[in-house]
Amino acid sequence: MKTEKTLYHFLRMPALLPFLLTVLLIFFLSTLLAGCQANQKPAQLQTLRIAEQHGLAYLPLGIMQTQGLLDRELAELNRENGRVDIQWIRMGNATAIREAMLANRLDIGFMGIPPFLLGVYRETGWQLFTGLSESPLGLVTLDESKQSLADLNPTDRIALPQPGSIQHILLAMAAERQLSNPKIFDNQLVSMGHPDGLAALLTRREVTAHFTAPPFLFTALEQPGARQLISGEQAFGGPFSFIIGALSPGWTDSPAHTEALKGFRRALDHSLSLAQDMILDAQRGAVEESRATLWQEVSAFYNLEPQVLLAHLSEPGFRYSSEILGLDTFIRAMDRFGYLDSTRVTELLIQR
Amino acid sequence: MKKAGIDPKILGVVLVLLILPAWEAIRIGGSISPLLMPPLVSIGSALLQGLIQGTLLVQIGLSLMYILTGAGIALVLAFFTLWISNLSPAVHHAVGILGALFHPLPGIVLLPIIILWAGIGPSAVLVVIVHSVFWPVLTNLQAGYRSIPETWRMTGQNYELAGWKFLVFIALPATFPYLLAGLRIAWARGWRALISAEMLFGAIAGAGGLGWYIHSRRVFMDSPGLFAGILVIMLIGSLVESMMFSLIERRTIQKWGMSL
Repeated sequence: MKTEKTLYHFLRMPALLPFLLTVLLIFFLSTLLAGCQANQKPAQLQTLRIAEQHGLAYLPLGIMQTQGLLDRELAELNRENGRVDIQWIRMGNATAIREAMLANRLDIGFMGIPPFLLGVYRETGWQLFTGLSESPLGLVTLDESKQSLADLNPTDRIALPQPGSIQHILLAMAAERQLSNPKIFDNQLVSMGHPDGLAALLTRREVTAHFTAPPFLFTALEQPGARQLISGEQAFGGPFSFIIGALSPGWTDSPAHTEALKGFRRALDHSLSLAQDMILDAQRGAVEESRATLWQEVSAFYNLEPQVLLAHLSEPGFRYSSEILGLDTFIRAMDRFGYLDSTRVTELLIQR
Repeated sequence: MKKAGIDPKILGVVLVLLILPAWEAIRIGGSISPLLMPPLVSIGSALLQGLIQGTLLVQIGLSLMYILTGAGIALVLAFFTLWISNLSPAVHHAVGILGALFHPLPGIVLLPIIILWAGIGPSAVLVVIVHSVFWPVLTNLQAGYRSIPETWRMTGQNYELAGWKFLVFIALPATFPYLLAGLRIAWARGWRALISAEMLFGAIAGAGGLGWYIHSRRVFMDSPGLFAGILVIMLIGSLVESMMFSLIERRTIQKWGMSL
C-alpha cells in the first residue's frame, strides 16, 4: 500500500501540522460566523422573535402581549409544523437590539429613529415597517440654579441612555438651536438606562440633568424643585415618532414571512386602536366598562396601579400610531452632526 | 538532547503574521459582514484616524493617569497596612482575614455598591482601581516580608539599622521581587477594572477614557473603531508588561541576582 504510506508520511511532516490546524480553524470560524449572518432563508416560519424596551412608549406591544392578539393572528399560520413560537424580549437599549438583530437572533425590533438610522447607515439592511408611538420626552433637572440649557456648565453631567440614542440626538438638536453647537454636551454625557439615570438624578449629586421618557420622566418631574429644561418636541421643533418598528434583514419574501408580517400588522393595528382608546379613557378620567379588564391586565403587565397608569396616559403628548413622523428631519440633523451621510441613508432606505 | 530554543520575539512576530492573514481569510472566505469582522485596512485607518484627528490619545492618557493615581494610592495604603500589621499579631491576623474576604472580589462586582457610595465620578473609578491593586500588592508584600532571610536581618542588626533605615536598606530590597510580582498582578487586575468601570460609567471627566471610547464606538455601530480600541488596550497592556516590568526587573532583581 504505497500510497497510504506516502500519505502517512506526508501528514507526519511537522511543518504541515500547524498549517492543517490553521485551515481547520479558519473553516470552523467561518462556519460559526456565517451562521450569525442573516443569509439563511427558511421557507417556514418557526419562531417570531420581537424585541421591545422599557417604558410607556411601548404600550401597544404590552397590549398585544396581554391580550394575545398576535397569537390569535398567527394561529392559522404554519399549521403543518405546529404553531409559530412567539418570543417577546425586553432589552435595555437599542444597541443590544441592533446587535441581536445583526447576529440573526431577532426578527423585529422596536427602537428610536436615530439608532435605527445608524443601523441603516452601517448597511445592516434593516427595513422600517411601522411607527409605534409619539411620547412626551424631556430633559429634567432638580438643580434650581439651572433655568435653561445655557446654564449647564461643562462640569454638569447629563444622563441619557447612550450616545446616538434619540435622547442624545434631541439634545444635540436643542443645543444646535439654542447654543449653536450641537456637540457642546458630548463630553459630559453619562450612559445610563432610564431607571439608573432617574436614580442618579434623585441623588442630586451625580448628574445635573436626565433626558428621559415616561414613566421615568413623570417621576422626575414630580420631585420638589424639578424643572424641564427642554421637551422632546421643543428640541425637535414639532411632533415626531419616538419609537418605530424595524424588520431584520433575515426577513424574507417567502409566503410564510409575508403572511406573518401581515398578521403582525393586523395585531398591531388592533393594539394601536386599543391604546388610543386607553388614552381617551385617561383624558376623560374614567375607564369605560368594556375596557375594565384591559386596563387591569395592562396595568399588571407594567407593574403599575390602574389609577397610576390612567394618570400617566392623561398627560399630553402620547399618541399611538403606525404613522412615521420626522424621519427626514432626523436624517438631516444626524448628517449635520456627522453621524451619517443623508444621501447614502436615503438611498438605502429607498432600496428596501 | 538539548532542544533548540525559539526566540520569543521571533515567535511573537510569526504569530501576529499568522493571525493577520487568517483574519482576512476567515472574513473573505466566509463572506462575513464587515460589521462582524471589519477588514484589517479599515481597522488600521480607524486607529490612525482616532489617533490623529480624534481624542484617542487624550483618552489613553486619561486612562493611564487614572490607573497611576489609583495604583499610587493603593501602594501607599499597602505599605501602611504592612507597617501596622507588623505592630501586633492581632492586627496581622485581622488584615489576613480581611484579605481572604476581599481579595477574591473582582472590582466590577463592587461597582453597584461603589456607585451608591462614591457616585459615578472619578472617585468611584479610583475606588475600583485601589481595590484591584491593593490586595495583590499587600498579599505579596506580606509574603516577602516574612521571607526576609535571617542573615539579612542579622546583618541589619550588626549595622544597627532600625526603623525606617531597616525598611529602606533591608526590607525593601529583600521584598522587592515579591512587590514586583504583586504589582504585575495588580496592573493586570487594575487595567481590566478600569476599562470595565469606564465602559459602565460613561464619561467620567471630559473625554472619558479608553473604555468610553469603545463604548461610544459600539453605540454608533462603528465596528472598525471598536476593534481599534480593543487593539489599543491589548497593545498598552502588553507594552507595560513587556517593556516596563521587564525593564524594572532587569535593572533591579536580576541585577541583584534574586529573581523569584
